[in-house]
Amino acid sequence: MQYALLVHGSPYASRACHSAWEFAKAIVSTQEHTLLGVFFYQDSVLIGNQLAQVSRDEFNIQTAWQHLSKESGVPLHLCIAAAISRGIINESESQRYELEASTLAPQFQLEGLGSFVALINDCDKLISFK
Amino acid sequence: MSSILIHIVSSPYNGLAAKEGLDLAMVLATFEQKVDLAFSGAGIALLYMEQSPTIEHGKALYKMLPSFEFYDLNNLYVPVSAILDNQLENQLQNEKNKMQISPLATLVTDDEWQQILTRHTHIFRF
Repeated sequence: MQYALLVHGSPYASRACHSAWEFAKAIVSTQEHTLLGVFFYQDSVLIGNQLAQVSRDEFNIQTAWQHLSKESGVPLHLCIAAAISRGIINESESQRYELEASTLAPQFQLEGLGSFVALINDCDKLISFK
Repeated sequence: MSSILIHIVSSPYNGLAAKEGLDLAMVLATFEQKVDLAFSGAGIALLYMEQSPTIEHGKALYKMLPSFEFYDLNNLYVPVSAILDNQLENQLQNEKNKMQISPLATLVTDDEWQQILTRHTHIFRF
């Protein structure tokens, strides 16, 4: 079965990013299922802030997603509108808004909601994490 | 084609959730997905007529309602029990608080509401 994940909740105020990661890990560990992609919307886009620093004795959910994506090739999409309004900016948006820095962490990419529509249409099952 | 229900339960004046729900509805509709909208709880505030928020209160999302028909977003469902709950709450607070709901919304019975929740392929709650 082909899965897609939609994540809503902030990595700081909910377990959405953590639960979605656990689920994603389970999918990519099997041969019979495929994870087509993960779309982060609303406050969950904060997962892509490369400036966020986690205490060394705490679990780093951003790094966990990065490893999963790197090892499995699963694309991690952040909604571009939601991300920009929360200060998650890639190089090209940084130039467009004439900013001095970009904040998007590696392995994450800014995408429009159109990419989410493609995910909905391509997957057999879409799972949301609030 | 899958059918999608965007269910707004957050107040338009409490964070970005309602706006991001409407954004998703419009984008999905633009990509020719079949999308319906539903409102309950604090989300019903988006349908109140004669709102006059200042810029500090937040974006006047209710002004988007008349544009929905251009996206083929023609079904705006509200369970009638949710309206009654809101009115009762308003009556307890202040009789003057009773607000009119936009005529673009369709009130549905509990049975119809149950059918709406089961007939869509995807439901996204904001």
